[in-house]
Amino acid sequence: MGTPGERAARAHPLARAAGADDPFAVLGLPRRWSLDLTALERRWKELSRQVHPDRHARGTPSERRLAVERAVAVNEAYRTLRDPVRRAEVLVRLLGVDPAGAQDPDLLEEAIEFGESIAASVSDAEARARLATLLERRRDEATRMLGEALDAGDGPAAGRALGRLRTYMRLLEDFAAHRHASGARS
Amino acid sequence: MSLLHIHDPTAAPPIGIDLGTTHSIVAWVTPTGAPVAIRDCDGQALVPSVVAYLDDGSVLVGERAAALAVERPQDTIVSVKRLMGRGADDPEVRRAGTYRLAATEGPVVRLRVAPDRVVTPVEVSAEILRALRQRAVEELGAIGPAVVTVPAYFDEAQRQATKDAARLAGLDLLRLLHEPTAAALAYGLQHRVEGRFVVYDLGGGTFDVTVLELDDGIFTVRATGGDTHLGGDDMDRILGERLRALEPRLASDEPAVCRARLVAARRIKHALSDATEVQADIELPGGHRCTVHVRRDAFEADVEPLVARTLEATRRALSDAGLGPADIDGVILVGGATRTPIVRARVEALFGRPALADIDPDLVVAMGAAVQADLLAGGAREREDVLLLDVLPLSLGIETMGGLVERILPRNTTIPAAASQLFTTYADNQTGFELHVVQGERERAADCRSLARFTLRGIPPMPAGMARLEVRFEVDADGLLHVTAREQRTGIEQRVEVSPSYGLAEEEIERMLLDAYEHAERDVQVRRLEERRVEAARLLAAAGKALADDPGLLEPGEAELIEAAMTQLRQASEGNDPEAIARAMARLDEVSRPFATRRMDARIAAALRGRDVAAVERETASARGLEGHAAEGDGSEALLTGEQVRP
Repeated sequence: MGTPGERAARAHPLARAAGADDPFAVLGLPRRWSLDLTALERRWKELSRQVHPDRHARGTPSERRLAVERAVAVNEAYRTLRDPVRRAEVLVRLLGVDPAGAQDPDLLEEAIEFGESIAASVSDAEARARLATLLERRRDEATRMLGEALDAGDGPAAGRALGRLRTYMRLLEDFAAHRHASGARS
Repeated sequence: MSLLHIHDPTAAPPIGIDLGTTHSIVAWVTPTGAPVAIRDCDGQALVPSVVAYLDDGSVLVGERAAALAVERPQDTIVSVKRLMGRGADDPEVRRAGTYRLAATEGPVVRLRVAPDRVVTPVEVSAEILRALRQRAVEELGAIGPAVVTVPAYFDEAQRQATKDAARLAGLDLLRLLHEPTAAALAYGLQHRVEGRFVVYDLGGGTFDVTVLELDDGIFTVRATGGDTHLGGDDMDRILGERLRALEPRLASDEPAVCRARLVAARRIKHALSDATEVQADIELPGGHRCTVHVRRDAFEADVEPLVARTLEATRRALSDAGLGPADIDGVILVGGATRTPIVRARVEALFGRPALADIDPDLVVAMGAAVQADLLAGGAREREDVLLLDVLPLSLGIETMGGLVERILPRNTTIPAAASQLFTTYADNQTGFELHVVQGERERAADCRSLARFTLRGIPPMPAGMARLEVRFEVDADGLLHVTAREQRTGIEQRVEVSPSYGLAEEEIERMLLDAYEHAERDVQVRRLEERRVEAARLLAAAGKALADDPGLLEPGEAELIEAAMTQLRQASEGNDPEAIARAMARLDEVSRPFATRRMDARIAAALRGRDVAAVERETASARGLEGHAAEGDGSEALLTGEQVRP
């Protein structure tokens, strides 16, 4: 199949395409980092009650199409805001900073060191416990910095804090994966 | 307004259908609001999901077909649900065993049956649905639209196949509904204020477990799990193996003996629900008989691993929902296999509470489907404020470099949902993208279910990594996927609608529909005209209701425009040209679109301010008033754009 010279190839992911619209606006919520998750869920349900396609099952074709469009937007916004990292990404982007921007070289070095420590500590329970506590403390610290920067409307600082938060969360995931791997062996 | 009475919903009640692996049921909601299964003249609600094809070209469904299962195993199709949405080379098809396959490959299973016919699982299922429809018509006179249930675990191709079967059977399908959610509705859990429930559904061929959360009239599916290869049929098979060991004449692999063994096993299993031991007299092919003796404890030891697998899946679903057994406010048992005492005992032990099982576990899903159909189609009674928010049962993704899966919509995402992902080229001057859409939780695409492959072409040559291909997945409220792909950088607006690689092509369904009409000895044109008239009446009712509900959202002159299009459609409906009706319907939909958009956004705006729509309309004399609200609102402008609300 295909014309000569044409090459179809597997695609590879470039970047997660963030929704161009503002999920805070979709759900009618103030653009703030601290968010009452119960209130968020309540708002999502209130809107779902209005726009869900089941509510328009006997409507005209236009109404049914509109219902799907609106319900998709409401669900997508809810999914984004419920996740603290994605919520921060939106806020950082709204402050005019690319949330996938340049990595801090110090942080990169620190991440590599942590990665090595995780690999080296597989059989040392005490070292693992210390490492876990340290990583969790760093994560909480980054979360606090992120919150402060966002509340102050400081985009660049928020972007840096977000980079740190993502790094520590990824390291904690790696750490959990290692524990499973070593658990399976023993 | 007289318009509201054109489509009288009480005249043709909506129905709910449980299209099961071993048997199917149709139910409706009586004018007093009680869901009931429709029974035949012998009082039987269960229609065996068995279809027999005879030499004279006739087709039998249900008990009469099941009676032929031993005698004509290759022309009698049982458990066809297991073959829905599967390719001919699917392992599940080899497992089905005794049938004659018309082809060993291809996107659809094709079975050769008497008299020299080839049928697909969609057509076989449509026969079952037609029989249920007929039963409902005999009982109720006329029937309205239908809700058909599917296991929560059904993938895209299986859902599409179920939809195709409903269409082929001439049903006006409102929605596909998850079986466990239907069960919760049958128990009237929507009447409670809040709670978390587990629905444990061990049916004939599938095991489903669902964690549901109810909060102020909204059911949210928190997690689903299960196994499409686990059910009461497997218990029968396990017990069949025991019978094989007990009686040499039952040990053959001949199709007729296999069938006799399974029929006997099912009977013994049912008897063991009440008795601790059973002495069974078994009919063998050729008129011979034999006797076997089975004790309940031996049977329970045999099926213990199977029950353990269901509990494992239940714990997994709980953990997906972030809950433990103690957090659950109620457990519903669904499916005939939950009558097996060991199943009920183990489930109750896991949750430490008695299960809800006072509605017949075979009928509960159909009854819930009827409740949902009644809620959606809107009867004469006051509607309850119930909404079901379903989730995607399996992750959807795209195969990327190295055969790995990039997940685009993760499992348990609330539907309808959409997500986009950017891809780029990995080779210089690459002019096409091959996209492989898969469903499943495994890392490697080869281990997931392949849903569709397509190639996006015509990208101008550019260096590797320069192209920006946006792939958008959209899943509707039935869990059906639509994929579109677009190259952003060059502005090529090439969109590709994916047709699933498993399942029937649209042309083939059209042909089947025509065949079905010929069998019914009805003129195609007449049938099409009737269908169009029904659709037109429905559209007129919807448009009339919109005008009556929201007069305050109409712009000057708009009502006249819509009413003129309605008059045109009414006139076209009285004529005999189905195409003219279709054109008039398209016209009415088009002129009422801006109004429909304003109505939708008014509802959203009202919800954002926490007030009901009626209250807003009372204080909103015109669309201008609405615009004022949007401007003062906190971010709601995004949904109320200038295009939708003109000054």
